[in-house]
Amino acid sequence: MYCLCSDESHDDIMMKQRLEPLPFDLMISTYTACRNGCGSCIDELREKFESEFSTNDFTTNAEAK
Amino acid sequence: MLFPSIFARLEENRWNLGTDIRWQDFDSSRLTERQLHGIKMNAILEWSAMPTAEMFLRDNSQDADFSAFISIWFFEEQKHSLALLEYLRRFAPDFCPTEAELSAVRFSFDSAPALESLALHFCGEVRLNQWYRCACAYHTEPVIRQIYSILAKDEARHARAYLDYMRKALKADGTSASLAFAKIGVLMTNARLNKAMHPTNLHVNKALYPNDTVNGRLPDPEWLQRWLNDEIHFDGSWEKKVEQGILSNLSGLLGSDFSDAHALRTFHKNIARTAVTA
Repeated sequence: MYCLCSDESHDDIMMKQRLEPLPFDLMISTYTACRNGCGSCIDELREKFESEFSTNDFTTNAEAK
Repeated sequence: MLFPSIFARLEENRWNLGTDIRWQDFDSSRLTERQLHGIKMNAILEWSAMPTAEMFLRDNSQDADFSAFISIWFFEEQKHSLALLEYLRRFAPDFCPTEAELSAVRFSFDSAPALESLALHFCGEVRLNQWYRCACAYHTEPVIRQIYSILAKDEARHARAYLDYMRKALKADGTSASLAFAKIGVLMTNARLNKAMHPTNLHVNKALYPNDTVNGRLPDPEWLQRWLNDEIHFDGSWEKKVEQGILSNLSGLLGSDFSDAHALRTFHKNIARTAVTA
C-alpha cells in the first residue's frame, strides 16, 4: 500500500518505525502525513504496528530518547 | 460488502461547508482575476461528477455495494463544486458560472467496461489529489488554500475507496480485473500523452465526437492545460508523485513490483498474452 498524503509506501513508513521505534500516535505524526492528510491509512498502519511491535518494543527506545 | 465501512470512514472525516471553512479569513488582496477564472473552471469540472455518477450507476446495476458507495462519492463531489461556487458567490460573483455552463458538462457517457472505469477513476482521484495540493501551494489567499486542501484530502479518500473496490473485484474476477487495471494504469502513467491524463480529457460519447470530453465543454476548453503548466506549475516533480501513487498502489494490488511505468507496461503485455493463449 502507498500513502498518498505522505507520498510514501507503508513499507517505507514501517521501515522508519523499525529503525526508530515510536509509540503508535507518535509514529503517525512523525513518520506520516496522515494527521494532516486524508487519514485513510491509519487503520492499516495500526494493524501493521500491532502485529509487529509490542508495548515494550518501543517504549524502551522512546523513553531512552 | 464494503459500503458500510467506507461510509463510516468518509462520515468520520466529513466537513461542514458552513462552519469548517474559515470564510472570515478572506483576503481580497491575495487574489487575481486569472486565479478566479481557475476557481470557476474547477467548480464546473467538479460538477461533471454528475454524468460520471450516472454512468457508474448504469454500468454497475448488478453491483449494489459499489452503487451505494457512488451515492456518497457523488454527494461529496457535488459538495466540492458547491464549495467553489460559494467562494465565488461570496467574493467574486462576476465569476460564478451560469446554470447553462454547469449543464454543459452533463452529457451522456457511452457504456464502458465497469472494471476499466473503476481503475480510471482511481487514477483520476490520485491525480486530482496532487492537482489540488499543488493548487493549495500556489495560492496565497487563505480561504481558497483551505478549500483546495480539504478537497485534496477528500480526493485521496475517494482514491482509497476505489482501490478497496478494485481489491474486491480482483478477488471476484481475477485475470480480467488484473488486465483491466494494468491497462488503465499504463494509459494513466503514459508520459508521452500530451494532454493531462485525467478522465475529464477522455472522449466518452462517439455520437458527440469531438465535443465529447468534459474539458472540451468548459467555457474555456484550453484552460486546464494552461492552469497546470503556467499557473499552478504542475511540473515533473508533481507528475512523479502521481505516477508513484498509481504505480505503488497497483504494485500492492497486483502483487508485482512496478518501479516505473515501463514495468507496468511489461506486466500488462505479459498477462494480456497469457489471457489470449489460455
